[in-house]
Amino acid sequence: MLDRPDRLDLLKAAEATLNDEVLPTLDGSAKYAALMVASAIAMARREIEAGHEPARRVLDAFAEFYGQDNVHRAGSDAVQRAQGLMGDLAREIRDGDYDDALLGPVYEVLRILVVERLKQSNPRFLEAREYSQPSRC
Amino acid sequence: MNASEVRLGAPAKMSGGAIQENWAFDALIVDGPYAGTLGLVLRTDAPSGVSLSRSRAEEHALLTAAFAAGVTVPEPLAVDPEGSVIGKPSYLMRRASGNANPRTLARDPALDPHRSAITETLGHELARIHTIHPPRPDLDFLGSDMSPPAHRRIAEFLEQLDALPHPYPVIEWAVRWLERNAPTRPASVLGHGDFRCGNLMVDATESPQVTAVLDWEFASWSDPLEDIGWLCARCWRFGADARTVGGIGEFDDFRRGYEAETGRTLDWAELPYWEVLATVRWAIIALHQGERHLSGREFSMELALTARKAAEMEYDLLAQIRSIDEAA
Repeated sequence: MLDRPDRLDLLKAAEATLNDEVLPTLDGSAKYAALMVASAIAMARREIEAGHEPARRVLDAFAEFYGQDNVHRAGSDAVQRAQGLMGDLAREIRDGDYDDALLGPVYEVLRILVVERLKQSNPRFLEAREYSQPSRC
Repeated sequence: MNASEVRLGAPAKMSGGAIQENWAFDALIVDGPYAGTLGLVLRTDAPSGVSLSRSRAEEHALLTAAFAAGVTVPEPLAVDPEGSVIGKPSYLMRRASGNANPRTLARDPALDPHRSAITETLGHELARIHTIHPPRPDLDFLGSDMSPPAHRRIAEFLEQLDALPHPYPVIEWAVRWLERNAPTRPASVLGHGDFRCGNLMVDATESPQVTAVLDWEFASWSDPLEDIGWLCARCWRFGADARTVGGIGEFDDFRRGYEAETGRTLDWAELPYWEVLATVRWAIIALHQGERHLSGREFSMELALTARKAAEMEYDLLAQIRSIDEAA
């Protein structure tokens, strides 16, 4: 970061202004668009706040599942390594490696993979399984 | 129209539809069997519409079959498959009253006293669609593959997952579960393919009722439970989560309507399987909508956010499959 306010400060200011000053003045399709924008800003803000933590927790879950020695967790490319492991797991599932116990230990890794994404995109879903609105489709 | 004179009012473009355009207009018919003012809709391809879905002529054939089966659809009146009238393929239908906004049907409290009746009517409507059986030469574009519909869907899901740039292990896991638990009955009825809030037109004035079942572009030979799973899956309730039939009403009302219309019952215990299949289908569609945004072909805030909804569906899949497993 070379300057202040930084990206998180700016996003927080944008989010608050949108919610407190702009949204109350809107209705109809403009309000719908602004709600979508508010939702997008909130996701981006939560991702920045969380930093490398989500990827690290996913790597921890993989280490638990595949064995501590099989998953390298150190270093800064945690997201890339998490994605590599997700690719491996997806392939193994499709190949039938877990057919005998689809609700066995693999279930816990899968749960953490989704939970870590939902914490950023829609934490309310974790509390109440409440689907995000608005949605027009 | 069999009339000596028809006077056309000015057409107005209706909202919605990136792939198709709908034009509303009135026609004053001076004599003959249709004498009077007819509210009409002309449906045609949008200029930028790159459609992998049904052609307008095929949609017209589906609508004609549904109308003949007693489904509440706009009466199809004429089709121009070659585009000789306006320069591109189109068809003409009666205009239905009301609106298809999912928020009206799922959320409008004015509908609450009528929800039971509306939901029972939806049972009748879907059952009438399901009275259309293969073979049907007029619907030959639906193909002749009657292999178990779940198997066909699973093959499509795997192909669609392979077309995504990132891996989705939870969806792979759900597809694997679907594969290992797939019903083996062959396809037996016409499935609408997208029977839910948003494609059901409702006139909410006075005594509210369903005025049209829209959007036939995903129709295929299927299992009756596929449509019902899609309608009842939790991801299609538009915030009205307690109403298990698409955010609209109660399952018992729907079932009563469906069974009264067909005079037979379905293996309702299998419905949770089809809800899982529906949730997988919507999750994969959501991810592909995000790719459409990211590719730059269709830059859209809404498509971008839809992709991030996939995680919600994935979380539901973990819960749905676990509860089916625990009940077994």
